[in-house]
Amino acid sequence: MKIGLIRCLETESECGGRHCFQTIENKEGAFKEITEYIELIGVTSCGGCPGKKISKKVKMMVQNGAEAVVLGSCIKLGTPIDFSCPNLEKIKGAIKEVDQDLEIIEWTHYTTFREILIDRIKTTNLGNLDRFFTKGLNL
Amino acid sequence: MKVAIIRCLKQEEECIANSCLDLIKQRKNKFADISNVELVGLITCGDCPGKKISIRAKNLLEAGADKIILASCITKGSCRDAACPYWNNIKKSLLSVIPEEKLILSTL
Repeated sequence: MKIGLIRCLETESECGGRHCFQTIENKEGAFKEITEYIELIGVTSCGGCPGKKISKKVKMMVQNGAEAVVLGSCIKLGTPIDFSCPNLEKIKGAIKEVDQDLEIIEWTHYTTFREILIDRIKTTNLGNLDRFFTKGLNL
Repeated sequence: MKVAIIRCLKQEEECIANSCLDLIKQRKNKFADISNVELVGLITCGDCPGKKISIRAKNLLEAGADKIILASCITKGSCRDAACPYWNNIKKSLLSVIPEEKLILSTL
């Protein structure tokens, strides 16, 4: 499955996207139901409030073969400073306008490290023990 | 090796970083000899004139990155009409904060 990641522009100074990449690599959080290989084809910021630049970016992702658009947790959940995006509905509308069939994954990882860790322990088995040692996305 | 990429904010409107990611996946150019690449960050420069880059790069190093990659849209002006007019200032500022061996200048 090919995905494109969109993250909040305002959060860039606090976060480089490590937790989102790790979540994709480990198939945790929003990705735990997905069994097929996930390929990250692109990463962009939302382009700044109020998110008017989203549709251009989503178009580029569709052109590159994205089957789903992932919105980082900084948008919906407002991590790491608990400030969720006031324009989420508009952003989702703009993505739907570009392509009706495009899947939207609204979040990536849980809010707190505790929740992430509990989820990781619950979903780990002997086959994927190495997820405790990942820091990002293997390219 | 854990890497974090910094790219041009203006160029981000035309590009979703797919060419840079593909190039690393295919181990081209400067990545030919690196067996294990783990992406731990991908952010923009924070808009002209790039004054935010060095602190962001420092934060990425503290967050676990081994090396900072500056995408070619900043260093060489690839995929666009002209190179970044602030590149000399940016380089000077970066080198004042982080050692040169932690930097990979250019992707494409």
